[in-house]
Amino acid sequence: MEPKIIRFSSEEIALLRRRFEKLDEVTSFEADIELASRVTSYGIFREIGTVNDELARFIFDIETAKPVRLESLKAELLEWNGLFGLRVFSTDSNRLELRTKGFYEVVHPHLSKNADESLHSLFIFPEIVNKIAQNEGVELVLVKSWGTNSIFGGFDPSKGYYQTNFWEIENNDALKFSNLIRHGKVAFMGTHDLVAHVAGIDRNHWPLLKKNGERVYEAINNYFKSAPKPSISALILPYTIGVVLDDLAQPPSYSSKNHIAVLDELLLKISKNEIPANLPTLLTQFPESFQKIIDLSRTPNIEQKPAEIESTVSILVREILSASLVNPV
Amino acid sequence: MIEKNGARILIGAMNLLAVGSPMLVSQVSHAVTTDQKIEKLNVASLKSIESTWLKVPNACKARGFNANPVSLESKEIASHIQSIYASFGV
Repeated sequence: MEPKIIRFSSEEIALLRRRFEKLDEVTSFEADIELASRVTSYGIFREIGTVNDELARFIFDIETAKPVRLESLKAELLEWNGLFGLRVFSTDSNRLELRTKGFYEVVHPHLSKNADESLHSLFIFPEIVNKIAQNEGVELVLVKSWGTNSIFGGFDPSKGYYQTNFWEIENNDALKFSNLIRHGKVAFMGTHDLVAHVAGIDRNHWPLLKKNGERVYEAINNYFKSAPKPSISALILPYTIGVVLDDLAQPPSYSSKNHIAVLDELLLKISKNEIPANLPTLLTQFPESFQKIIDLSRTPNIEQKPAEIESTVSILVREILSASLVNPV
Repeated sequence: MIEKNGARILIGAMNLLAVGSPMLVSQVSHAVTTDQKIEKLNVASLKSIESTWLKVPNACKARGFNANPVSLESKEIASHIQSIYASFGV
């Protein structure tokens, strides 16, 4: 049976959005696999070939041994054998290879391969991907507020970044993300989720990951206990923690000692409440040391230099405090 | 039992007093004002940090994939995953 290409009309997209908006905030794929497949396929479809395409840098043309051009990547939605999914392909090459561990596992082998084992396309079916995750003891979910702001949100390509990035800080998303992780759940709604969290998923690392999710959830929850409406200044440290936890939930960084060492220090720092969560402040600049923290967490063997970690995390807090104007007129 | 009922009445009376207390009302209105103030400041903060935010590579992609392309030694997929694909038909 040949895959049948599906083109959504604007009415069908509006209908899909309405069905999505009726879901609970977190909905398991299992609860409505047909809807989840459509939403996730559409989410990936929208990102392919844009700045938000996280698959692109791992898709190589075999002839040139270089990544295919971002603009050459296209996608089409399709149905096949009762499954809803999508096909990703490049107008530059029909002999592709994937260069990150686990990526091949989420691409349908028979539909995607040429006779010489290279790939002409990437056929992806969320329902099959869900089975692969289930087999590793992980539950794939849709998150309504995230999907509303990404899949169905206003993305402005001229900005070069997702509007959701600011939104993640403002809405304290690290709390929601850690809550998913501690319960063994992973959101699957776009290219990042597919390549960074689902491809290469491995049950052996999840007990430790859940434990770290629990620690993050507890720490952030305690920090904001007395501040239902925290300031942006107070949200930077949780955001940083969330990015480190996101790395830890990615198969290449599973159980990474360097990440865990930086996470430990960040959690210790947030417990000291040095940035009052409920103080009205105006943050005048984003701290430069945020990047240093992320780089440090990605540095092999940094756990053997605790003083460097402690000092960098302290600099982050100082930078946030010195850029925070209290009660500005 | 009587003592327990008495205690309940006392607690109930205290609750009523607390609800009727002008202190409580002012605390609530103060909280609302503070929340509104923080909300306005947060909007201003996000505008204010946008240019410095864009200079930070990882902040531009909040949840970037921490991996670089590698040459894969094997492109074969595990047999249990092959079985999953097979269960959906070929």
